[in-house]
Amino acid sequence: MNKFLLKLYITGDTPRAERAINNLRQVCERELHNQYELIIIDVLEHPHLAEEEKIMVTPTLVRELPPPRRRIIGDLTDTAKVLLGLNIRTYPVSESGKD
Amino acid sequence: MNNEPLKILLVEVTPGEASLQREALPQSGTVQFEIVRVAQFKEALQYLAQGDITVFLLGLLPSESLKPMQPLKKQLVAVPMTLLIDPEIDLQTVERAVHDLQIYFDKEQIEWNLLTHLTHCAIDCRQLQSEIRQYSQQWQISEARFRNVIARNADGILIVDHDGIVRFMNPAAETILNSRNQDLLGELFGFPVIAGETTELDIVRQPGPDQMAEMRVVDIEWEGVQAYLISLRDITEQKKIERALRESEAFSRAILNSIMVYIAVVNEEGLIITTNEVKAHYFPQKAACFLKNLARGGNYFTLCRQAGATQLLNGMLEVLRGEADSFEAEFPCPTPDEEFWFLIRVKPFEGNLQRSIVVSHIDITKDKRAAQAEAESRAKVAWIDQREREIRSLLELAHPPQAAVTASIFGLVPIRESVPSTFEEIVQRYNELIDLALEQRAFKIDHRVSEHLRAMANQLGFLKAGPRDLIDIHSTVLERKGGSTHPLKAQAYVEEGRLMVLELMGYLVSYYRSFSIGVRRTLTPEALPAKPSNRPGEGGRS
Repeated sequence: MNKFLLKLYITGDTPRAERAINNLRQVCERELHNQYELIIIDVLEHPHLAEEEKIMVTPTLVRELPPPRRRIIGDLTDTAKVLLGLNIRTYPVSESGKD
Repeated sequence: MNNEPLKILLVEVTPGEASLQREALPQSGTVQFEIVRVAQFKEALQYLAQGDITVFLLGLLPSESLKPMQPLKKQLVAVPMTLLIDPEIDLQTVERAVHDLQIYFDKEQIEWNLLTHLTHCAIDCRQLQSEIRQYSQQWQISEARFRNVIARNADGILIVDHDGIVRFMNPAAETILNSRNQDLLGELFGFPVIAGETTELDIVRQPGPDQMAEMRVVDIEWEGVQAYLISLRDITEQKKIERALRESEAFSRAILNSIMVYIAVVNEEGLIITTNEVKAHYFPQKAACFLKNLARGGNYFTLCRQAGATQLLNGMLEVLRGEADSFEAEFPCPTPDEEFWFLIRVKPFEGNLQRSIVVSHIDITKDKRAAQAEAESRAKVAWIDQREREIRSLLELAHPPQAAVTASIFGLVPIRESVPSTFEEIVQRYNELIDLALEQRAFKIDHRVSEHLRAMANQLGFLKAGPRDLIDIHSTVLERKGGSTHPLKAQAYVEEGRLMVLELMGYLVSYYRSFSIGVRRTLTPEALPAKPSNRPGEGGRS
């Protein structure tokens, strides 16, 4: 099984960034079972990385590997949507698309 | 379809065929036909211009050119047309000539019933085409309006597909993201994920710190495919204001908590909405008053009613009703050991939702005690002043200049001047006696002060002392004691000294009386002088 390489872009040491990191770690531990590598990038410390990646907003999570590259934005609290967005597992979407 | 007859314009240059068609159409069903036959296109155009032609039926000869059809095309847009064609004509040529052609037949093999049916179909088909064209126009208008609304929306709007690729963005989104439309269209933005209705994002490409946006996401269909409509609202200023408010609130609360006044905010029902944090047991816990029971969530009015604090309750209600600008009252809060006082000040507070009052409880116990002590001190000072005035008057009485002159004339000078050492000795003894008298009164010890006073009176009588001499001794002693003595003790000296000097005076009078009786016995009654003392002005008093 290919390891997932995930990059999480955050802005500074804020409660929102901390929440995103914790949420993502929980999702990864539960769903990817150590088959992942998570890199956290603070765009204030590494603005050039955000510029290269054309990151518009944070938190932004990028699935670098395995291809195809996927990118999701938001608060990362909804595990199902995170996995769907990363194309890791396909979850049925309701008619409204909100769940 | 309504029952009005179909008005058919028949262009047929061959009269025989035209009459054949005219005869065939009415027989082909229940639908009524009204056929207008013309032989030339020019005439047909005139009829079409009138606008009441339902069907345009065109018969063509093989030799006829299709060119005349060109001007007819504009007129035929709203008119279904059936074409009867000659087998020798190339169909593609006909299609090119008449774009909106509904249907056409081989003229030589035509079934007239079928022609009628198909004419109806052509009418229906043309109507459907017309409706589709209308709907299409409405849809285009609607979409243009929708895009216009989105473009003018103050919120940033992005439409991304299920891969997170940007398909549309409005000018507000360009501003918020600090990116141009052409730079983002077709680029990867991201698959939006939110748990609730909204989530907050940091804007990376905005200059300056703490640029934030609130994101909402809805599913839509965009250009025929499912997509996400992401709305971004710039909440940077809102967050700044919120932070400033939080800081301001924290600042205000810190100030409130730093002051040594218990403050309670009370709403119209008497509920204590909030209080500041003061030291523990701000109100004395042993006190019988209700103030110690004040706490957030309690009801101030109920506590007042239970404690019978009607004046305070009415004052608060008046301020709440706007009948008074403020209310102040001093509130005693006694304990079994000591008394405490609080100044309760009520001011109105206009909140967002309802009128409230701010009740401040200021501990004025120290002020009250200081005021009481000051009043007592003033009373004591006044009393001492009074005593001093008494002593001065006594001194003045003891040293009247005219009396000294008179006494000098008669050779009777005061003891102080005639025998100063003896005067000093008597003063010392009087001084000791006044201390003993004070002890005797305070501790109930019998120092035989009266006996000492009687002996002193005898000595003074022997020295021919008068009342002025006694006052002189008394005032000298009090004057010496008053200098460094505590006011309370000085007061005791004055009171005790007053009794002593009266007692001493009595003993002196008694001495002179005894002296007078002794003299009377040695002299004949006739020879007795009128007064025992030869001191003018003093014998009468003795």
